[in-house]
Amino acid sequence: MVKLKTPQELENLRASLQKQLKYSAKTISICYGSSCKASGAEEVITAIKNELEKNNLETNLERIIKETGCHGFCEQGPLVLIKPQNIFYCRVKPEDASRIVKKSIIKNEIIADLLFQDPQNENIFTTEEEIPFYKKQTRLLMQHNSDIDPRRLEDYLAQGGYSALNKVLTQNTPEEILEKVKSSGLRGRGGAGFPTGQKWESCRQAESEIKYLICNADEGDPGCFQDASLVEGNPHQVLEGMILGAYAVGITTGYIYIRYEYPVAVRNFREAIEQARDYGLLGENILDSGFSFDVQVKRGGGAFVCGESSALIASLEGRPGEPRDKYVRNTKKGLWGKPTLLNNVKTLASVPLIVEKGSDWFRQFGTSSSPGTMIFSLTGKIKHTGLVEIPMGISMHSLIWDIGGGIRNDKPLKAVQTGGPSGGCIPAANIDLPLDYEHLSNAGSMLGSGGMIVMDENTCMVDVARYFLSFTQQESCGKCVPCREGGKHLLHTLNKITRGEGQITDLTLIREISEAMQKGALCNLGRQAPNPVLTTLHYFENEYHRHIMDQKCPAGVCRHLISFYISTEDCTGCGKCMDVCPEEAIRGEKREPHHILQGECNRCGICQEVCPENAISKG
Amino acid sequence: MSWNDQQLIYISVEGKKISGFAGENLLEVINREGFEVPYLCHHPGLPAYGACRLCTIQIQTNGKTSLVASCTYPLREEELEVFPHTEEVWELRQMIIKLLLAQSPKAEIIQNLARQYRVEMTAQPENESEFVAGTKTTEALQEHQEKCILCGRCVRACGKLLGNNAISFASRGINRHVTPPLAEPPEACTGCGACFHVCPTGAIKMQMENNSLKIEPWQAEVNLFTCPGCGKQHFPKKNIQEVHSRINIDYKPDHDFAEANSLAELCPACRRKHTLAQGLASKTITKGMENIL
Amino acid sequence: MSQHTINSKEQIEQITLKIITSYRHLSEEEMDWIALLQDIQDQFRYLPPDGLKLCARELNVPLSQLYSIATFYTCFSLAPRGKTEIQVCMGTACHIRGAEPILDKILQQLALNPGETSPDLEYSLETVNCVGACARGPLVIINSNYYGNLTMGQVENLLSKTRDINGEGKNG
Repeated sequence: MVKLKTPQELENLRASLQKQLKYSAKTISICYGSSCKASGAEEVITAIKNELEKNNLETNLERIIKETGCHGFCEQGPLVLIKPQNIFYCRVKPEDASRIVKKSIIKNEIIADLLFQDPQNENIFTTEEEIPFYKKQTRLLMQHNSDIDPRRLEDYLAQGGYSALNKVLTQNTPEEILEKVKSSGLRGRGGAGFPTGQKWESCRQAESEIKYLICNADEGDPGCFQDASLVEGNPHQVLEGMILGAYAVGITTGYIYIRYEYPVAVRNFREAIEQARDYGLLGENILDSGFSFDVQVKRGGGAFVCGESSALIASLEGRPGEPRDKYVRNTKKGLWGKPTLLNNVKTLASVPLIVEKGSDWFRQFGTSSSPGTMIFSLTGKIKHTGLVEIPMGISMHSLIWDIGGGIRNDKPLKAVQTGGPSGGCIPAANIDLPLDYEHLSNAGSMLGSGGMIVMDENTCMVDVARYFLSFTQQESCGKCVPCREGGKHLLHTLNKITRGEGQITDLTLIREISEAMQKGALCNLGRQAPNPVLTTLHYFENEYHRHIMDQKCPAGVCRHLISFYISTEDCTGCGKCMDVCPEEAIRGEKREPHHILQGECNRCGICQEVCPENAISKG
Repeated sequence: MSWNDQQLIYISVEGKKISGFAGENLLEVINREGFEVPYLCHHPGLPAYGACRLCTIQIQTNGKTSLVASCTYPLREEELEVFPHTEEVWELRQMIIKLLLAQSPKAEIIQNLARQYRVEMTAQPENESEFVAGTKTTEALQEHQEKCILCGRCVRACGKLLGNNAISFASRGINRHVTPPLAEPPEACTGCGACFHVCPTGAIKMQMENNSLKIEPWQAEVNLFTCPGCGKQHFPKKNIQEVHSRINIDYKPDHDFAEANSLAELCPACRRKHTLAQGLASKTITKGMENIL
Repeated sequence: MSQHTINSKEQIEQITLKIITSYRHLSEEEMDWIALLQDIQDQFRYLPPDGLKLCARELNVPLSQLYSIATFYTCFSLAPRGKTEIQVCMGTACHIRGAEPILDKILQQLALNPGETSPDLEYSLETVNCVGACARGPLVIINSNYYGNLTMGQVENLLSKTRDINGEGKNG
């Protein structure tokens, strides 16, 4: 590897890489995102490698196989793409390796039974672009995830990477970049939606020799993995965004704070930094421009509260992640008391695109107040779980049905939870709500980091509120009274209600404590922790009443409030339920209808799961 | 920077114009004028912390109204109107006191606040808090738990103020507690007693026993000096050593004492006597003044 | 391996000292206490108190500071971890798809609470908040192997399979 000394050398290298790409043979792009890994992607990769060796193709191994970041369609993993045609194989098993190599690589054949078939209309799709899940997305940030081996800087270069940086260093002043980002209207993708350009300007104006840039990759929302997909899948795009931000604001030292639960992200980003240094794109005197900037990876320690900027800074300074009051902004006084620019992964990853293509180009996506795209983690009771990138302002309905394929088992939609533990539940009646900062926050929720959890009639809203509260309680740092003690009482009250021991006055108590937390808690974790409770109470008060007045959980989730029954008509007396019951609560003679001793039953539901006759019901 | 160099800032509190220096915290400035904003985690001798939120007040600046913790809000150049006792603020404080009362029903200061703010005790949730493994629950610890409100004054006094760092917060959320590291008797404790003195709820106990000073619930035990003058025990040895090392006196307990060393060994009463005797000898003090000293 | 390795105090100090060496030259601002403790945790799979004390002595940092870090962040454990680490994902997507009954079942089978290790150091059980495999929920991770789309019925099988593997390990 040769250190690039001038912008021209970078362009020459890119040209030669692109030429190589153009004339290279087929490649197999295998998704190595966390969901595909959980579905066995590792075994598939090994099997395909072995198969390539068997067919004497191993000399080109690195060229042929690309282990990439998340492709997004997690539901169908492990995913394999044959490039350049983008033939889309899903649910690939190690046994399929031989066919893939022999038919799709050596020959030009398509393996029909590995293609995606829409369960709705049985249509079969050959390429990725044709599949509705992808077709209806607008992929700007995740555009190159399947083209790039995240561990090779050359791949990013070949896709046009670092050209924004190159342009800027030769043609633009920092002020021009700042102006571009400001006029693009980009807003913080970490959740709050603060205008990015304004933040940059404030940090630029702060008087200090030393300033810091921090990229927040401590994605802690349970049910979100889009930041991981970028840091893992396209680390150089994030890095380029960091370098551009540092150039515009005048910063020489940067950190990226990555959640320790994402080891692949940590590894890939560390390697990306090394490669960028080796090529002279990071470090002293970048491409002979006189501008110097370097980045270090810091691993988080497993604390959701560290997503909060002042807690993250405390953590970077080597202390527990306790937030502090931010009456003086980080851009004036942050890490080590110096002006600090802190941006989310998706915010920084958008920057190279804006710089390269212009703010007008960026503004054509999304709405006038929320320009650009947003990545959502679409999960829960949805048919197509996965990562989805769409322009801001698209309706929730369109996201769930056009891209997500609708609700699992075609049940009716009940609610959608957005914004993670700080967000709220939006009822099915509001399904046409446009997805942007303002609309979601007016509905009592928030865009947050882009979590979107779909719920059907089998989801209990009281239980959902209780779940999020118990999460924020576990993750609260415990410093301030409203969050620590208020959250404790709130959770206690919700626990009571889900056990059927609630009183109607508890709802008043819930509202009072919530108000105190919203107004009095130190940081946003505590201030927003009541959101899931307040929104469910607002939109689904009746469900709370049912738990309290009738001791019933309409969704059949709260275990203290449900019972299992065996239908004497349908039971064949096979005895399967009796065998699995951990409490030995089922009685009955062989081939005679069985029954459940309600006093012994712990409502685990395993009997219902194993019954071949569907004779066991919940009520 | 001298007194005169400090920038004076004027703010309005309930329509009354008052002043303070830039960088001072709002709580101290407005309480100086008698507005009686309550607080627990704050202490004038310690860095501001912002944990109890009791000192929350309403402010209006740039046309925006918001609630802020006054102890961490710095006085700076801006148009600021302060309302320390609005109805909203009062309600928030009531809820905070309610929560604290449930947490630490035995702390007298909380009971007084509850009376002042007309708060009644709410039902206490079952204790879901568990200390980290390895901590033995002793009687002292239990008593401490019933009074400690986790305001962190002791931690800041021991760490930020004195640099001893014998105690710290451990765990998080509802499991948060103050403890010496590894829940073992703290080696770093000098027995200075700062934690005991700054605690607003009496959750820390300090007592002399035999030859030593004990601070609970830290399980701290430090030896006391015996005054060469009267034979009574006074300061903790470690504390004196610490002071000596900070003022760069080479401390050698077993050698002939330099004047400063031997002075430090004396208990306060004997030290006064000693100074007097010296003064009389050198005639800088005349007879008759000894009663004053 | 017939027995879970427990290092002696000397071994712990020796290994910890090696790790400390690479941090010694760092300035106050460069120093990364969390990374140091993570390196030690990676080495022993827990943070031995003796190692913690050694760090405090060698690097001249208050033990209380290290202790507060070690108890604040969930990636640290001050007690030894079991040979088999079982993690149950309690992320939102998994919760909605029924992670709670799965966890209850595991708790019952192993007679452990989340965060606990069995006295024979065979199993450690913990809950995690989303590992980004939401399409496969409910999900359990056993020694870095993912088991997704779990049903209540599969839990028992999965655990007994794990026990068998452990048993074989013991005999062999």
